[in-house]
Amino acid sequence: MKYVISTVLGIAVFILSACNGNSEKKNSSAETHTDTTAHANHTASTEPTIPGLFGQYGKLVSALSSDDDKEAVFAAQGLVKTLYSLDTTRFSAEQLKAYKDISASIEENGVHIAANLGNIHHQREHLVMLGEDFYDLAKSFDLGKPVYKIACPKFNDGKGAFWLSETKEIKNPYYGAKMQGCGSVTETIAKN
Amino acid sequence: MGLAVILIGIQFFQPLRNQADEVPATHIESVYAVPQNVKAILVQSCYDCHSNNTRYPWYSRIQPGAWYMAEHIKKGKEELNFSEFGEYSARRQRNKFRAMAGQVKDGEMPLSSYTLIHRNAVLSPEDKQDLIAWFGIMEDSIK
Repeated sequence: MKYVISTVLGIAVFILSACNGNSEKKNSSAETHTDTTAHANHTASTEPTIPGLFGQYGKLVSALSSDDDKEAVFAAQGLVKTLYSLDTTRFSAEQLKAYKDISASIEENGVHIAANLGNIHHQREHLVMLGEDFYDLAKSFDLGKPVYKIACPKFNDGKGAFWLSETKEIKNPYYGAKMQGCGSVTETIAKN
Repeated sequence: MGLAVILIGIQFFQPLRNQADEVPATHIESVYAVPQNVKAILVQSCYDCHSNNTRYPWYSRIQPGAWYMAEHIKKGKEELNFSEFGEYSARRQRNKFRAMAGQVKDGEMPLSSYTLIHRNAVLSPEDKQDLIAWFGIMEDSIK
């Protein structure tokens, strides 16, 4: 008898806690929702195109070069949002193949940066990978204007890292104020 | 009394166990030659949360800890699953090798909440060196 009672109680507790869990989830999704709407203003001008995606990446680079982890979160959220709404219908089969591979990586890196408020070091680690993603993207798509590959050989214990920029101005996103001038243009990517 | 009943009650609700009998063809050890020393470290400190095979300690059956652990493993596998490593794209594999090196170097992984209980999962400085060196080699080998 005791066993039955405790089991029944156990079930009740389980159900109750499951319900609680749900409502918590709802709350948090509502919060995220408000966040993204507040954010929509931030990213309202972003077109769901490859150049639009590059624009978001540019905002992220700029945020990190200013040591602004919070702005980096916003930019990364905008990046992922643009990615989700991106229109791929006019891509060639080859472009689509490249895009699928690259966009999965952009998404994962973007989500990580957005989730790491207060850990700018980790945000920067993912920016290194994003740089490679966008470099490959620039090789497959016409951006309508040239972009510059800027390399900083010192970062990551001398392993080096690069980023992409629409201007030749050096504002290092991996070091920020600590060593903002580290970097030099190593390649100009322009699709004809 | 009420609390005791609840605690006893929840013992009957055990999450599914994360265990597999075979090493799948997509396992990192199936797709890459993992050096013995590195493999030993991965088994000891990583696979419990980052593969389809967890070595459960006896107390893992005690609720609500078992739920906590199951949730932990689910998240860990989403982030990185050595059992499915071979299914990842080359780009993702490269990213993961780099991220692993960074996490180990910064002492972010294994999580301190995990090593608190699993003392033998703590990485020695030599372990860290071995892992980081191998991750680096692997990252560079994937182009």
